[in-house]
Amino acid sequence: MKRFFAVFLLFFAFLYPSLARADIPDPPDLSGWKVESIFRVDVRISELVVIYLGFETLYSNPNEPGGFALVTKRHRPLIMAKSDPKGDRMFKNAVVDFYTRKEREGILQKRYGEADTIVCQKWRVVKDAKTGHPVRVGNVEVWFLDSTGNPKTVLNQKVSIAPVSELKSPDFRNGILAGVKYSVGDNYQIIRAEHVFLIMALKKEKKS
Amino acid sequence: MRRLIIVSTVSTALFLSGCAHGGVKPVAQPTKPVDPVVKAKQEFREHYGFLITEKEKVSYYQETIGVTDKENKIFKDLKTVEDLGKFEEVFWKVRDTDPNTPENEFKELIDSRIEDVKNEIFSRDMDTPGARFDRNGGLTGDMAHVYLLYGKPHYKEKLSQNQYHVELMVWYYFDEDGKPLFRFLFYDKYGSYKLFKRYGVIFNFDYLIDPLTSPLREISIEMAPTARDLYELWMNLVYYEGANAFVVALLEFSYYSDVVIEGGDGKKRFGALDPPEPAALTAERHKPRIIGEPEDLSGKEMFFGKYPSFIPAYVRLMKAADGSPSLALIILYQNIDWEIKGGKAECKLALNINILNKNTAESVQFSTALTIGLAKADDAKAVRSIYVSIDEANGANNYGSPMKFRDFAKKLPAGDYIIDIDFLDLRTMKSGVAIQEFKK
Repeated sequence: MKRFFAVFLLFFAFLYPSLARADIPDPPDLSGWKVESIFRVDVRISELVVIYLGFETLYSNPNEPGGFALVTKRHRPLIMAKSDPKGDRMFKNAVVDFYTRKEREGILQKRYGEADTIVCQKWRVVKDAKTGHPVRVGNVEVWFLDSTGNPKTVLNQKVSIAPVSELKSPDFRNGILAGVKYSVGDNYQIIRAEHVFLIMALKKEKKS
Repeated sequence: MRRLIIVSTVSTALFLSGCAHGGVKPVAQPTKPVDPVVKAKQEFREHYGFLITEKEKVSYYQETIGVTDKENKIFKDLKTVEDLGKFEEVFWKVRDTDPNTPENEFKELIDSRIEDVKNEIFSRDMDTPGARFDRNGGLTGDMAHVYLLYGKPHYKEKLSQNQYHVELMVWYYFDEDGKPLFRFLFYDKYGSYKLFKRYGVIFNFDYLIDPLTSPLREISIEMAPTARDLYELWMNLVYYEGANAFVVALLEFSYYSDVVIEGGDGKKRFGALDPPEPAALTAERHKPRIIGEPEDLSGKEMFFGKYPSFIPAYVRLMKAADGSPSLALIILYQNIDWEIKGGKAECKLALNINILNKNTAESVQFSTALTIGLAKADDAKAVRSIYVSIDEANGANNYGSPMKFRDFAKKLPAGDYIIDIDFLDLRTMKSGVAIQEFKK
């Protein structure tokens, strides 16, 4: 029985590595840290179509001067396709923005609340005595959640960020930029808009 | 005859005595009290009448006045000062260009332009000396109409009267691309400026100097110009370099063919002097489409996966006995959004596989819908994973031909491939993506 159990566990460890690493902690706790700035992670695929993918938040540690953390969160991709004003000579973009801002912000805020942390990078800087410029000291601690749901913590590894496209297809003959890929070593996490939604968004643009 | 002379003499005398001031004071007529509603409506129309829309029925007065009709009709039918007040409130609300601020920027803009009109801002302008609104119909004249709608022109010029044409004035408005959006040409024929509106296709030169049809008749100094007069007028304008802006404004109102001076349809033809569409309606019409919102699941019993934004999954790509790609998804139960139905748990995923041949850059697609079911709803909470083989899944290729993935994969010629797999829960819009390389 014991043997069977061991084989069973090994089998699943092989099939699904995250099961074998259940002890990996959740993203670092940043409660009490101060939000310095929030950036949106988005991809603009045309003048009118934007794909919202997530947020990056820069925190500072009030209890440790020079301590910073950059947290990347992903949410379900959201495509916003603006109407093409070409047919409307007197179109006032600002007016539409003003009227739809609340709704847009509301939806993005909701998405923010439902986002998952996928990267957390923590580091510390001090002011260089000679130059007066901030310089990094110590390790950069990287917490990363890959697309299989497998979290890992590494030190001083680069988090690569690259645009990710839809491959060429009859719908998109030259491929199409559709998201962002975060990688740490061989592990990656892709946030990308769905093919079918991209078609819908761009069709709307053509129709208008 | 004598009687006739006497009557005409008396009536002439009466007429003259009536015209002469300072004579016997006429008996004061009792003044009819002015209806406050009529007065208030007159005042509103004088100031803002150019904004009242006429073409389509509007529903935004329904809530306050209880009417859905054309705006000018609703205005016309207002019977009480109270209703006029309600009308005004909605009238400005739907025209507010920024509803996020307590101010109504649009009303402020229009009121500031009304003030400009009252202050005769162009009368001392170097480009248009003596151009006064009050001598040209005041707030309801053509000059004010254009000014109230568009403000100060980007370019303006006056051309004095000469032996051929009356005094002319042009106001040009350019768009962001620097193209002339509107060219308003005013002509002073009977002591006040009127807008030239006779734009149309000029078939040939004969048409231009035809005394019956020529649009030049309106700016001619003659009451009934001859072909010769019109010919000379035209030559005078064309050969005078300083009249270029006027010649162009006579021939073409806008750089854009879909912009007309008035009488647009609000959709494909824009009328510059037509009442503008209220901002709220424009915003509604051009509201961005949001794609990727999950469906309303409030009526369904759901057991949501651990991650609110994606479905973590392990994509197992292996080589089948014939060298074709063999695919499977391995997903933890706890990462799936389960719908609980009749004691069972179910999940439906749309799966798309795009395979790009790295050597030929050709791609093929396979898509299928996967239904994953658990016999007991409680199992959804268990720490287990599910193994979903894609090979036997029935789906379709990019031509819509139904087939199993195994057969689809078999048809791939030998080569190096990038396999892009994405799966999406259409109810919750959570998805997962995996991109892997494969050599066949």
